[in-house]
Amino acid sequence: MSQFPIPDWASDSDEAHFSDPATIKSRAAKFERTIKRRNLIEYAAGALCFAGFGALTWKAAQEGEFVIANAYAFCIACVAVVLWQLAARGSYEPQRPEESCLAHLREQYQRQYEALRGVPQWYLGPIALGITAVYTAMMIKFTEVGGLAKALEGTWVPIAGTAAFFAFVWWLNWTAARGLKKRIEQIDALD
Amino acid sequence: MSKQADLYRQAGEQFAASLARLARAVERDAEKALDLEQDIHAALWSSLSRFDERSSLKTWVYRVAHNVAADHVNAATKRPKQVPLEDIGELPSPADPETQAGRSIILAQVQTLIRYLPFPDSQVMLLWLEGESTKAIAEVTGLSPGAVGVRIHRIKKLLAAHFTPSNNESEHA
Repeated sequence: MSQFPIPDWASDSDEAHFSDPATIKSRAAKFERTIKRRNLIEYAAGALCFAGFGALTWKAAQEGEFVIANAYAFCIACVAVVLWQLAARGSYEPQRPEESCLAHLREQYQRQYEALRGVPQWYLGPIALGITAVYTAMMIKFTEVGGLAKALEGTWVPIAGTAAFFAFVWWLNWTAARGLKKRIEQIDALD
Repeated sequence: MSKQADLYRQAGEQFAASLARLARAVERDAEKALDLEQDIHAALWSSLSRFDERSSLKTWVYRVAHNVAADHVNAATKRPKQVPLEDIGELPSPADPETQAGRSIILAQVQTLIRYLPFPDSQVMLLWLEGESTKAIAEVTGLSPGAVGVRIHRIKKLLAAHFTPSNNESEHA
């Protein structure tokens, strides 16, 4: 039997006992329901994006604005890529909490680091491509109507704003990923 | 009874109190601590279907429990700024509700200290408080016995400096 270095410590929780396996199973079922609900919300948001861009594509095509319609259709494809990546990356991965604490902690940090480091490729990249396509289509349209100078005058502010927003999101993710990398290095340095 | 259920029963008989103490130490809120305790039970139940006897049941149970607790702490939005053992000069003061809840000041202070420590310092301290040996702590945490020894030495020094007889007398006065 273990000797407790601080006797007060041992006096706490003497009456504790393990939960009944039936209770645990219902807890696991509740957790699965939460995951399913979260996935459902993601799919609903995706469906909303598809519906919105679908309506815009249809409206532009009806008005004979085929360049703009194509840009919106391209946006739908970009959103589909992001949703596919979300589903692939967010899928349930079996955890093995019986690993040593350091191995477990390193694995958690590594997974989060890779997810954050990949954000520009799988999230920001496709969305930026879709938005660039829409802005390009708008520029072409405005240039036809009033010339390039007029088109630039009307679009540079939203383009700059969008670029700044994307740069900010990229920076946030990069900073968080860098912090995690530092923690991983600290774990690796422990002996 | 299945092997999994039998192992779970054995683990419950031997470690229920330790795991309850672990949950209460890392989570100050009593309801959340109870929730964490049940999360640990659930993770343990699932993991025991994979138990391969390459480690002892004790090592397995502690690893699962500490890893679930670490995930709980990492997921928390609010937690105290963490200070490594080598940088702690004084024990942090416990929050009032903890001392008012009938726990001794020493116990409340030790639990508060654990919440301030980063991983794996807090895990080493918790296992040391459970009376585990350096070797056992090294197996659970993955640290070398030498690294565990250094941390235990720091913990003892910190506690000895604080819990001197005169200090305890003045606290009870």
